[in-house]
Amino acid sequence: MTNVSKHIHGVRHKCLSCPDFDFCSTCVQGAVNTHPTHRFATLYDALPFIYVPKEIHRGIYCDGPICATRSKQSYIRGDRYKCAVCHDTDLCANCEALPTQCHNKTHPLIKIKTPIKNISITTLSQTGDGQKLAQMGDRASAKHAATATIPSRSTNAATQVQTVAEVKPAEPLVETSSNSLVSDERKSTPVSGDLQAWFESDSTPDGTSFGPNRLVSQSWTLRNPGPQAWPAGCAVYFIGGDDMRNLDSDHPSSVSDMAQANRSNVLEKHLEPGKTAVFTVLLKSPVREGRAISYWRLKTPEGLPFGHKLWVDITVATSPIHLIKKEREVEPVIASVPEPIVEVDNRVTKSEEGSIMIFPKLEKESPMSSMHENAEAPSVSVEPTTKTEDQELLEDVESLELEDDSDDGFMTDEEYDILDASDEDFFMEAQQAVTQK
Amino acid sequence: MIAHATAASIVSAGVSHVKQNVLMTVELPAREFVTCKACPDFDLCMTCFELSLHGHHPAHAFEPVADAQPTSSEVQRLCEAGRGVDHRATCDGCDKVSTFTLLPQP
Repeated sequence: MTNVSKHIHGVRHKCLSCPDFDFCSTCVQGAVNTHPTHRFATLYDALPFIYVPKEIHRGIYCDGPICATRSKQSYIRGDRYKCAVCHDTDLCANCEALPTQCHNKTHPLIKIKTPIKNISITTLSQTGDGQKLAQMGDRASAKHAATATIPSRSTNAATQVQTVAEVKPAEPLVETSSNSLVSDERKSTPVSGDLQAWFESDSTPDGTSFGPNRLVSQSWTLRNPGPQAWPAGCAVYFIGGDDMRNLDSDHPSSVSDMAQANRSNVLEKHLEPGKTAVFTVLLKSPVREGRAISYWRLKTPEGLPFGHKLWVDITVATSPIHLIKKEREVEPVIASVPEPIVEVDNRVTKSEEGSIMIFPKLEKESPMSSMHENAEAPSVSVEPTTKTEDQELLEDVESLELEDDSDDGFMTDEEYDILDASDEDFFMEAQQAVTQK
Repeated sequence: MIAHATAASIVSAGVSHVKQNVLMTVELPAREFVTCKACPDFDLCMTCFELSLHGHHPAHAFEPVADAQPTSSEVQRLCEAGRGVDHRATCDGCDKVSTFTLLPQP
């Protein structure tokens, strides 16, 4: 069964929906589970080989499921699909069409047929109260700073061609008169540097095991050691790492849902020094297996982060039962973690919602950035206060990316030609077969 | 039944034994025949089989009539379903079976 890169002999089963996906007669038996919802056509004769030169997107790796599991990573050939929302996320045509591909389906993908250098795609999205705009997509600014510090020694590094462009600050485009009143108020609130928060305990210990796509509840008990009282409206916000926010990746979420998923319950009253508060977030475990860490931080209503850094560190393990229950819907089952007692209410006032940031980061599928051990990669932040910290973290990630890419993993042209025997004329063949019958 | 048949009772449906649409009855030893595993009674002599002009359904696998019959690798290849056609395509299931079976649908 491990005939890697060996031709199919005998009967070939070609997927009718994917550009280049084939099964041998052994593998096609499990196709209902391994390649669901796609139909296969049986081919007895070899299709004539037509050489079609494919464009190579130099420096761009596919983050899709087929390419990610390949031991030899190679640049995308043919059509490239770039996510308009996720930072540095590209798919090749094969991975894009794959039914088991679990990239967020609400994200627009941009089809790029010819190689483009230095493309940076960002999208603006409305935040909680509909007046601020958050920037999503490639993290251009942080990249810039990080790449500048490291001399580019590898010409093949994926980071080289990637997305270096000027940052356009996400300006609020629409500013109604009633809204500007609120934002003026917010600007005038004094900023305090004396806020402190100490971590006491969490309800989901590091390394807890969950099934994929399950609801995970995490409650952090935080103590205010003083000297200042925490203002009302403090909450724990998603910072970065693996995106485990409780969002439906198949359908667009409402803005309020996204805001809700992005942060914990909000502190209703101010908290005096010496007292503790519990912040609970509801998360959803990732679909993919392995370790997943999501980073969170306590922030003031103005968006100033303070106190200890917080995280949720879980292990996702698939149990074979889920395979059988194929039609299991997105609706996850509450995991067995007991719901902790929450001291503060979930209610949010209008003014508090103004400080909500929406982080565009989604499931990290990039082979480089999904190293969970180094999952400190932060998401885009529109606030200048968190920028410096984000950049520091990014530099770590950047250096890692440059290290682990080398030239030797690439295939020769001959190997590609064999692999690229994707048959565009297949549908004609299929048509003929139908008419013959 | 066919495997135990005497040589005289096996009729080849092959091309070289058909003349002007009249099926010739030839008598050959049982080891000279392959039989279709899918059809109830369809046998070919080795000569016709190796010519690959018989036009039998390519999905049907053949097997030698006589047990422990020494067969060339060419005959073995032709016996398999698909007749051992080399498709210039690789199986996407063989090299990553583990990852695919474990991937649940979101």
